[in-house]
Amino acid sequence: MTGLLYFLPISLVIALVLSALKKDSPRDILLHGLKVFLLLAAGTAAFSALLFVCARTQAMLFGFMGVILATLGFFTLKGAAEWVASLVRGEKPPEEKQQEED
Amino acid sequence: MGDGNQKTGTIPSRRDPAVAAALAWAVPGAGHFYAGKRGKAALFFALISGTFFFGLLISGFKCVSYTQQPYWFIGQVFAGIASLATAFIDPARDSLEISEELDVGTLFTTVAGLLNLLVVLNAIAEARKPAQPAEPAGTGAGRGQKSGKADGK
Repeated sequence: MTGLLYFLPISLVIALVLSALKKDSPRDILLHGLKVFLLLAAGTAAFSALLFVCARTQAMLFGFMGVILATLGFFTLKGAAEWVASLVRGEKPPEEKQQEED
Repeated sequence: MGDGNQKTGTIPSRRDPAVAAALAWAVPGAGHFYAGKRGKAALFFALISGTFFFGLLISGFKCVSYTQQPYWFIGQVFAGIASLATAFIDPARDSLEISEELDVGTLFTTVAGLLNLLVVLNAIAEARKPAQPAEPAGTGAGRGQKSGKADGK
């Protein structure tokens, strides 16, 4: 159970970094970060509860690790895929396109 | 300079995306510092380096080991030079006692590495962005509020 004490800081770090990648102003980063943090917390709680019912050995910690790594893996692969696709097609990255449209 | 740049009022970026990527990998946030985003650079450095070193501390510097935990090391290596240095020392070379502290330390360092991979990709995108046109002297006040409207026109 002590492993769960580390859930809050690392989820907060993930939420803030992901928000800082998407938003620019400090206020937007904090607000968006709070939403991502709550989503992470909800996902972890649900997944951990499911694991806790199925197998009680270190279930909460594994649930926590599973959700965190799955979330990060998803965003990492998504970012990498968009970047590689823009290189392959010879186009500008999505962020640059949006900036030009603005 | 191309005509397109004169029409759109943008200046081609003089920042090399490869340099930004290398810097961002070596030291979290350095790529954004190079691209001119100093606030974000400080935030990324504090958050990612803090997470990585907290993970190291809590596991007694044993969680980064390419011999004992090779699959986790793939994620950890993106955290920069610090991960390579720690793996080179490799205090867990002889034996690795499985404990909850080791699990948590491994998780923290791997998360730091994966987050830094995202930051590296973002630093490349920031370095590829065209530079903003130079503002005439005397218009510095209220730049942050007015620039959005000016860009929209």
